[in-house]
This record gives sequence, structure tokens and C-alpha cells, in this order.
Amino acid sequence: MAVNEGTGPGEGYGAVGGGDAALDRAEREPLPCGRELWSVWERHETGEPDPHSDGCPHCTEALTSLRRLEDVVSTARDAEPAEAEPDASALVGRVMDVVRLELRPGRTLPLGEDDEDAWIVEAAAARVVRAAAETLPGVRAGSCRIEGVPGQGPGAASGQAVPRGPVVIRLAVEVALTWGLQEVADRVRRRVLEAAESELGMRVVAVDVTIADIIDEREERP
Amino acid sequence: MPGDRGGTPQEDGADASAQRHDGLLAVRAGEGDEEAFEELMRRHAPALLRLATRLLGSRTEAEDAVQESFVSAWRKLPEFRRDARFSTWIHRIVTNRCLNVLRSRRPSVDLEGVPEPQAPEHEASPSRVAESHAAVADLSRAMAGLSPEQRVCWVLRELNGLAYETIAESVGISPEAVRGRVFRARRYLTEAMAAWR
Amino acid sequence: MTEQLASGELTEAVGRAVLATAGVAFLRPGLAQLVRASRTMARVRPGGAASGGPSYASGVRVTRDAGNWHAEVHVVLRRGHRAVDVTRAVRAAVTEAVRRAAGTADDPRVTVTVTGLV
Repeated sequence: MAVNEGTGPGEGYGAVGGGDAALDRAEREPLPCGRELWSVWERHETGEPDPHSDGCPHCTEALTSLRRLEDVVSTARDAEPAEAEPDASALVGRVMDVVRLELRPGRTLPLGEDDEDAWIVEAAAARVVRAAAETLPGVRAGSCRIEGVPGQGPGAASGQAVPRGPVVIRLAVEVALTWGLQEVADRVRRRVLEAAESELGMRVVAVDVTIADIIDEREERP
Repeated sequence: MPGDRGGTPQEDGADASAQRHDGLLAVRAGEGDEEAFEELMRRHAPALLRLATRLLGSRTEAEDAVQESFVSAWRKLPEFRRDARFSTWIHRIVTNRCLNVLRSRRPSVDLEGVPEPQAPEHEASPSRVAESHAAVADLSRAMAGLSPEQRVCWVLRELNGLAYETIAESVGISPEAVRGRVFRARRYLTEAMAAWR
Repeated sequence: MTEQLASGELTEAVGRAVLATAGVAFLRPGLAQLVRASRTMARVRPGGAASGGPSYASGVRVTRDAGNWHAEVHVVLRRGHRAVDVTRAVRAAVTEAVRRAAGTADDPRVTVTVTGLV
């Protein structure tokens, strides 16, 4: 067999995205019988029958070494499942510590009356809106965008802030198959308006509900 | 809530529904919903941790790589395309992060100094444990001789059982290039292990 | 144009007043804490160590421009309280705190921004 030059540490690849050339003929490694190591292994992998290699000592040797590797790999894999589901909860907790501290740039929406100087970031308001929609069984909330109404209210207090005045909520939901679409849209709208008033104190002129998908995997009915 | 909470993301049966739920969570997380992001992490972190541990051969480094990948995913999520698969996207981020770790580690690689994997706690006969432990140790020693690019492609193929096309998508090269790398890795490993036996 | 930052004591007084308001969970973390957290994140093992305790200065900025005080407050609220009611209570508490600490009878301008709900 050829020495393993060019296969190990010395091999110079570019970036991951960079194209590296397919194998040239030398690398496919011709065996003394005229076959290439590459194609012998390839056939073995795809399970294609190969009468030649069954009787050829060179091909047999090439396949034996590959099978030996496969055995070790499967032993290694078998040895692994002691921890089939590694516990990632500590890791998730650490990432969440960072996530909660980070400030996402985003819209700031008016809270309360026009003459108040109180605001809420869109992500926080959207959370209340989604949770309100999901109080209905068989409803999952997706995208939720909350915007000011153009031309309404006194000017914005700061750069990212929506002008003071009532807002429009655009909410996408996925609903169980059992819901009537008009009915569920109406009920979502009502719940969202109630929550905007009772939990936030945010004035809302309209709630646009889009049914983004139908969930048909489970029977669920209020 | 209806849906697929019970199934692990790896299960083929629940795959389509898991994917759709991922899509919903990714949109919410992109809009700043921290809880949606937390759930995405809970769904994917175990598999990613296993992947990174295989790629890096070290659980501690794997934890760091996955953790950093999630933080960067959180920052990039607002630009995440709705039609893309979250699972593919986060796998790519983790794979690339591991590749960078492997590359930065390259110059100091010392075959003898490669840490052996922890003995697997397996309920099997002692001889079987010893045998498999030796095989795993041999293999991980041999793997240290692979280039980072070969190692990544080989692990994804042989340990994670991914199709060449899937690996190509995850690493960002052509399927032919993946085949070439896996072939080179196999050839190197067969020779390295033959030399030690 | 000549905006001046208020003293540490005044800022702290405002921070204390905000935190004492029912429904306020904590002040928004300041930039310094964010930078520190992301820098140490990779090595911080025990959960929650990075979030730290409340820091009065972190979510409060008090300035004075042409004699008029302006307090800007960023808060995370507890769910179960109506957000606008809490922001009104915060405004009242901050107004009172600025008046007392700055020794003025004038109402300061108070901007309250809710950055999260827990």
C-alpha cells in the first residue's frame, strides 16, 4: 500500500467553504490488480456486488483493512451510548444568562396615554400577546409584530420609539384542525385585546390575526 | 399545547412536525422571545453536545463550543430565513466552531498527549469493556492524526451516520469533496491502526 | 445643550426608589455588566453567577439640562402586575426621589421603559 503522504497533518486545505479538488488518479490509489482502492471501498460502502474483488487477493486485503476499521468504529460507537442523551441543562442555563442580559435592538412601544412618557420594548409586549393567544387550546403563536399607526399620535420621543398613540398588532398563529378559522381568529383577537388592556395598558387599534398553519396531529377542542 | 413535545428531534417519525415546531420557535426567538430560544436549545443541545464531543474528543471543549455557538445563534437569529431548517443551521454553526477549534489546536498536536476518552460506563462483561475501551482508545489516538477537515467529515459520516450530501451541506463543500476527505481519512486510519497492532 | 450627569448619590436614590416599587423585578443591566458577562461567559460555570444582584446605577440615568432634571429608567417587571400601573408608580416614586435628593420643588421629567417581563 502507498504511504499515507498527503493524508494527514501536512495536507493543506483551504477554508471550509473553499473547494478542494476531487481525488486525482494517484490518490485513488491503483492496486496491483488494476482496480483502485477508492472504487473497491466505494463499492463496499454502497453494497454493490463485485465478483472480481471476491477472488482478488489485493482487493481482499484492501477490504479486510476497511472492515477492521469498521469493526473498531462500531465498537467505539457501541461504547458510547452510556450517555446517549448528554445532560445539557447546565449549558442551556449558562447561555440563557447571557441571552437575558443582552439587549436586542428593537422597537419601543408607547404604554398608557399620549401624554405619558412610558414605553415597553416590542419583545416584552409580544410575549404577553403570544401568551394570551395560547390560552386557547390548540393555538400556537408564531411571529408577533407590533407597530405604531402612521400619522397618529405626537412624535416619537426617541429614535427607535414608535410615535405615541395606539398600536397595531400583527400575530401569526398555528391552529388545530378542529377550529373554525373565523371563530379562532375572532377569539384570538379578543384574548389579545383583553391582555393588552389588563396586563399591559397598551392601547391597540387593531389585531391582525393570520392563520399561518393548521395543526392536524391531534384532536383538540375547547 | 398540541404537538410533538414528547419526541426527540432525532426520531424520524416525528421529524416533520419537530421541524415545523422548530421553525415556529426560531421565528419567535428571532423576534426576541427568550423562552422560545431556550426551548430550541433544550431540543437540540444534547445532540449538538454529542456531535461536538465526537469532533473534539473532549467534553469540556465541546461544552464551550456548543455554548458559544448558541450565543452566536441568538445574535444571528433575527436574520435567520424562515424557510431554512433551524437544525441544519445550528449544526453548521457548531460544526464550523469545532473545525476552528481543531485548527487552532493543530500545531501543538502530540499523538501521545491526546487525552483518552473516559471509560464508558456500560453494563457489559469486564472483558468486553476492556476490549472496547482499548479499541476506542486506539481509534481516538489515530483520529488525532487526521487533518481537522478530514476529521470533521469522517466523524459526521462514520459516527453520526450522515449522508455525504448532508455533510456537504453542513460543512459547506461539495459532496465529492466530502467523499474525498472521508476516503483519505479512512485510508489514514486503516494504516495508522495497522501499524499499532 | 449643556447636559450634565447627576451625582452618584442622586442616581442611587432614584434606583432605590424604582426597586422599592411593587411590580419591579430589577433594573435593566448596564452596558458594563453586559461586557463583563459576555467576556467571562465561556468560563463561568455556576448558573446565574453572571447575572449578579441589582445594581442601582445600571438601569438609571439622571441628567440635568438648563436646570431641568430628566430621569431615564429601564426596568424589568414582574408578571401579574399591569405594566402601565407599575410605570406610573415608578414615575411617582422617581419624581419624589429627585425632588428630595435634589432639593427642588419642580417636577423632573421621568421616562420609564419596560425592557422585559419575568
